[in-house]
Amino acid sequence: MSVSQEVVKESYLEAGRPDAYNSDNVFLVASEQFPYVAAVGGIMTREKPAANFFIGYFYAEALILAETGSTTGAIQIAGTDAYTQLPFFITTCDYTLIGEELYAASAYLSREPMLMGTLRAQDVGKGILIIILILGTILASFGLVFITHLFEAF
Amino acid sequence: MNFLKRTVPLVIAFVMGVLMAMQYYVPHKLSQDLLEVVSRWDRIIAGFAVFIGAYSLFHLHWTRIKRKVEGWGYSIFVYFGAIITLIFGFLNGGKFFWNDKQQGTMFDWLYYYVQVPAGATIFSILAFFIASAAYRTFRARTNESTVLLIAAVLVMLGRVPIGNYISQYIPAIADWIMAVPNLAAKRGILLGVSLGAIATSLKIIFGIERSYLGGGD
Repeated sequence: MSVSQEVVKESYLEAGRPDAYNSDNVFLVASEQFPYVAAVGGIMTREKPAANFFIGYFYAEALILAETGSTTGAIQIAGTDAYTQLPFFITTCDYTLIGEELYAASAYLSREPMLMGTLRAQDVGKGILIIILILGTILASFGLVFITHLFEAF
Repeated sequence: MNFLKRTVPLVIAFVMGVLMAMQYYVPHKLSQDLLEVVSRWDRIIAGFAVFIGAYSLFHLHWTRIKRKVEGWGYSIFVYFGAIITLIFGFLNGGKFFWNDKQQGTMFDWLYYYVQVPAGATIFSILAFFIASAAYRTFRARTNESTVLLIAAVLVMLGRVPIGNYISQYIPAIADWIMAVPNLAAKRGILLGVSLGAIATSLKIIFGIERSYLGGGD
């Protein structure tokens, strides 16, 4: 809660409107899934915000939230690493950050060299994994399975 | 002040991050004990965090009642529900809250006959939302949505007995769609997500990503 309030406060400061920040706008509605959905869905329907951002890990609440937001006509941006909920967000939101794009968002927005560097490292890591996967597939096709068992859990 | 607000949290994040990452790979009893102690700390700290959240919620609704903003009557229900639950929680079926939690009390009744059905009601709305979202997606306006529509119809038919009556190949095609293109895409996303999670964890542990501390360097 405090972290969320600090982050929002900082955003208002960076936008040059610290006077517009109201700590009562960042609040806890519920700690459980469906009470949370009921509360947030109600807020979206009553207050009709211009934009909704759904960022983080979601379960069954994803579609209820996004579809409710969609019926209010808001611009919707989602970002999640929960692959089971991705189709729901893609269907109901204007833009969706898929999987790893969620982690790249802060680097993309800030353009800080250090954060951009970690993105490059992720791409290199992905390249290495792809090479190992292709190599493992070829070797396993010829009966050489040592690389297949290399990453098995003990 | 900067030391307490910035340096101390960064040091805690670094030490605990490195310690817990290493703990995962050390199958020694000391390592397992450390995990248990830290997990207990985690639950205790989370308990205190609930107090902050509850304070924020009650403060917000108190302000709404005080200022008589539109819909302030609903805020009274927040207090009503919380107070009733707290009273029965403290009463603990006549044994009071300093004893172990009793079974079959009014507190349980409120949970099983108010909160659970209310949650199930919200969950049931999902079925209607799936139908409306599917309708929008499956309108074959582009090549992608046409492919999606065909794949979805085949998988849906393949999962019910009528699919087999129409053609014995439909369940086999549905299985192939799920086991090959669907699984390939899922694994691709998972690989990216895992690498992203590792990179983000490292950024937090080494203090590169520090937005969680708020502003002011």
